[in-house]
Amino acid sequence: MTGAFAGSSATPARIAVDGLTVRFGTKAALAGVSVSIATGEWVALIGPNGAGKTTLLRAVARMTSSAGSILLGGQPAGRLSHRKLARLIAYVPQHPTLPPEMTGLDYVMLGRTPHLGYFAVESDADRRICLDLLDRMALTDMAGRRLATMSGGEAQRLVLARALAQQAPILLLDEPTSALDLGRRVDALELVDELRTERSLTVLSAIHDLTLAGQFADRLVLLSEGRVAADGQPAAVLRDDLLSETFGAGVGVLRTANGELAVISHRGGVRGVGPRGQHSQRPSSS
Amino acid sequence: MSRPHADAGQVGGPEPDAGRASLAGPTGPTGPTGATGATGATGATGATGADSAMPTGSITGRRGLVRRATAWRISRSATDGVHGARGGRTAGAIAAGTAILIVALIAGVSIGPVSVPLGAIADTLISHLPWHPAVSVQPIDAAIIWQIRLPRVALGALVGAMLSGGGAAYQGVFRNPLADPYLLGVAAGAGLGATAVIISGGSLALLPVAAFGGGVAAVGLTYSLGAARRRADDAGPRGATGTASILLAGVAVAAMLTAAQTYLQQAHTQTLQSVYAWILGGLSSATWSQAWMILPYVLISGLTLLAYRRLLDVLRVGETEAGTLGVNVPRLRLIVVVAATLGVAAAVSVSGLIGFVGIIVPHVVRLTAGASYRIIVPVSMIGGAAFLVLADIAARTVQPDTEVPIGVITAAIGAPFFLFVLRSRRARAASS
Repeated sequence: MTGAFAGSSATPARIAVDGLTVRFGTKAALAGVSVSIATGEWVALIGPNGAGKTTLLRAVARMTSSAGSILLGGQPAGRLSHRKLARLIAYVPQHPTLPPEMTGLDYVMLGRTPHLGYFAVESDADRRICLDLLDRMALTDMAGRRLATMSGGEAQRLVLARALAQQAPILLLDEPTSALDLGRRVDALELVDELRTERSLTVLSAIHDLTLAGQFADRLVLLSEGRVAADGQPAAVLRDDLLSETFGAGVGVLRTANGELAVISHRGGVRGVGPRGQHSQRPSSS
Repeated sequence: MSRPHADAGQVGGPEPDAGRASLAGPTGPTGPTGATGATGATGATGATGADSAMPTGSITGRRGLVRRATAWRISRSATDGVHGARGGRTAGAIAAGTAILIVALIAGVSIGPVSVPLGAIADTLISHLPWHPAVSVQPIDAAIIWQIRLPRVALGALVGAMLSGGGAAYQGVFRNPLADPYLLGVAAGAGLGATAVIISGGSLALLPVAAFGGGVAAVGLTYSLGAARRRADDAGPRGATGTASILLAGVAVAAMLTAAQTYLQQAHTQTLQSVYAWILGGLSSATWSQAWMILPYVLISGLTLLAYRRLLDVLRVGETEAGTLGVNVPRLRLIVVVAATLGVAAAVSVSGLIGFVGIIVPHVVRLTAGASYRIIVPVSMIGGAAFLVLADIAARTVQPDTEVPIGVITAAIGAPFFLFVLRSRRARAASS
């Protein structure tokens, strides 16, 4: 299976976003955002609701029209056809649609679409790639099962398998773990981390959970009201002052005994009366 | 996260309940759940609600719970053997459909006021082959078979295949279980064109041309109005769906043209009977020339829809996700609509407005053979051909003197049959 991905790992998969602006009506969801992600790097987008995380992902995937420049592996994204774009970027939406009657294998095979001619059907090679992916995701027995019968964790891995079947060097994840409990979240992100190492994937993800974002991503980009408020190593971004400023008072950072950063919310008290940070974890969760 | 439900928001954001109700519907109406959701709302609202709610089907949150509840119910039917290997299933369904079609064709030629023996049918067919061996067939039998029955059966098969295939394609491309081939106004336009010719006393040879032109023009109007709306609320090259606005434009255009047609019809009472007969539809005036006339349209349309059946499966995950998988959704939709419209308008131009075939046959196929469009599109074409040929036999034999309108037969036979399939599938699901 690794052979099948040799081509994609050799493709330079740098994402360079420069001066990106997206407007919905008169409201600017993104206002002049510039971010660069190196090949093989994992960058997490963090920020409060409405900060523009999903919009930035959608703009990079050309699902939203935007002003400014987006270069994918050096090529302007706007000039790529649907098919070429889908061979370069695999997008995992926050709320994937799972046709209940479709089998696991058929669903993963949808990921082969950008590699198939319009009128072609999947070859044995396509089927093999998808079966290998199901195997890799510990979903072998899901091949013939219908999506309606799957648990949240299985569905999450299946959607990831479909994205990997695209054999795209860039992986965009929109809140990939929001449906999962904490244990499954860590599992899912570990899996993404292993896969990106295996396949030299460039990963850009929106992650609500600041603690997890800091643990898994190489770099954090903090968005606030459509602008980049901070961009750097997790330790440089997960700071009390920055987070309080963007998320409101009541968000703080703890350093655990083994040096990991845990973002917690304070209830009332000295931290002030800001909204409870529904996106941050309690200390026990780290 | 700035637009949590961008897809849904485009058409005004359905209530969670709407999303729940139609969750199972579009992607594979699994009997009760899908059907209930779809029919919960009426007319235009139903179409929009179902459509806009589809992309919100998710693995998370409240909907996730509902999905799992639905899933539980569906999973109990997983043992009914319908969901084996897709390749074998497709071949099996096509073989079964073809067998039914062959029986229907033979029955259609042999049954009638004068019943003709099977040997005479074979001999007549042979006598029209080039370099055929010498056969002897009664001239009267040969005339009945070749001049009356065969063209009628052939036309019925072509029309039935086209209406069912068009309906299946529309259900796929609009991700709407309520879609039928007349969704975008082709029937209303064809009806207006035909009415105009009849009341003006124009040549009957003009009738199919006017009906075809009216149908195609109506869909063209619908599509340009719906697509104009899509550009206005542009959500980007991949985000734009515009399906709901096209469907709504179709409802409006159909209402407008039907109003004009009804007005013309009522204002010319002397032709009321013939206008009404055309609107009801039928195959009683079938000739070989009509069959040859629509054959190219049916072939081109049918082959195009077959070629796009895999992409209709990709569309089952929603327009936005299909876009991220490399499908140019607006182009796919345009091609499917153009192909289906040409074929359906051609069928309607010679048969009138035969109802019910285009919506019920694809659903019977979906319930019995599987939810993949790789099965639904070809098997609907075969099954639709067989169904209309059989319905036509009933239409010309149940009453000794006059024909029953075929639309009455398709609904009177088709609806109970569909309900039987729906119920027996549910019963199987509950007992397994």
